[in-house]
Amino acid sequence: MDDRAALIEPLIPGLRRYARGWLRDTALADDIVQDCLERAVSSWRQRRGDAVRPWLYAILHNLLVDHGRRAPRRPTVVSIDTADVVALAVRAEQTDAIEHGDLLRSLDALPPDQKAVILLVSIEDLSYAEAATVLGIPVGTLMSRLSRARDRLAELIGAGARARLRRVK
Amino acid sequence: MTAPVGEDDLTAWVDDRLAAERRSVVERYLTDHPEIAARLRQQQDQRSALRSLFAPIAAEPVPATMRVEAIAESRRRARPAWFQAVAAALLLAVGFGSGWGVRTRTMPPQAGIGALAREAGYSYRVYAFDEQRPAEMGAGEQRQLVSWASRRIGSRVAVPDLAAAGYRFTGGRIVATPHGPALLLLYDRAGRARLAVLSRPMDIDKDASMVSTRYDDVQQVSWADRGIGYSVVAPSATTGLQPIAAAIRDQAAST
Repeated sequence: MDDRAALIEPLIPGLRRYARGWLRDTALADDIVQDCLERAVSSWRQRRGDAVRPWLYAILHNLLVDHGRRAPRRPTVVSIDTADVVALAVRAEQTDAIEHGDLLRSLDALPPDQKAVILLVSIEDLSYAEAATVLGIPVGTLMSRLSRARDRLAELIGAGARARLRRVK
Repeated sequence: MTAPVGEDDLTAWVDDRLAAERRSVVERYLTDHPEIAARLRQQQDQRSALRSLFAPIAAEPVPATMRVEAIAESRRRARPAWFQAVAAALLLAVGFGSGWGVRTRTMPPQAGIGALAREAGYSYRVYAFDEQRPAEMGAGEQRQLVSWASRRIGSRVAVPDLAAAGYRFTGGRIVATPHGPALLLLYDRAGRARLAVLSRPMDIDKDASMVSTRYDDVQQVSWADRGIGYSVVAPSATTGLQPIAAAIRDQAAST
């Protein structure tokens, strides 16, 4: 079997999830993953022994950042059904204290650098060294960025929950 | 001697990535510093909430277009299809396209690219789902279709080759829009819903970079190049529409 397929395909579910962490529009997120995979297949030989996982995530990350630059915080033409699909998919089995709506809104409100470290480490389970490679920063910088990002996320979630409670009252 | 507990230890504790020995050092530290411990426990809760929120996405079946074999195959076929395309002369016009950027935005529906996208959506809903006679002229009458449409639209048109993306041209027709006649081309792909390409002359937005929009159940990628507007339409669930749009644009520009 094609060793490219054996190395790339197991990572596709995670890549799609990473793109969806950035974009609430499923079709658009998948288009960017598709673009990432096409680039990976066509530049497979230029990889020169780099580990596949951080290499693929780095390609995807750069495409997502480029996309974000081209489409700066504009209201998107996406129906509510599509936009909330992640939240809706899990609402039924939600048991913990954190409202998923608050969580998603808070994640979206993080600066891109901070969002990237949280998605890569907390959700994608990349090692600190791998995540640092993806973002092109030293591991020490990654660690302190992660710590700041988590503090910031906690603040945002707290503020969102308080605002929601005020509305309910 | 034990190294002092650092921010990196605390971060790694949240992620449960500490070696057992170091973890017990950190946990002793946290017992002595309950306010830090509370902060980190909150971070742990958020981490697991995020993981469970996003976990279902990784369980979704992977689209067939993302298989490495499918990508490699479309690359193998892309080259011959490209030369054919140049020879056959594609969707029209002279010159080169300018750089393309894809943007998603809210658009005024009355004119320009926004209007074009809407018209493409309307035509798609009427004709693409028609089982009996979606096209006025089939793939076998491509030459007649091209000369008819070129006359009605007032500029030379051609039929883009989307074989590299797995779509086969099945036919086309002239459709009415508030901005005059437009050419609607239909494409089929085994097991997938039809794809359509609408093109017509543009009064405003003569050159516009790619915009992706969706209305209800269909999505469009639209742009204009040298006075002709294009809109590619497919059901919302279709992925890979942007590369197809880029291929059409490249083919038209290289004619």
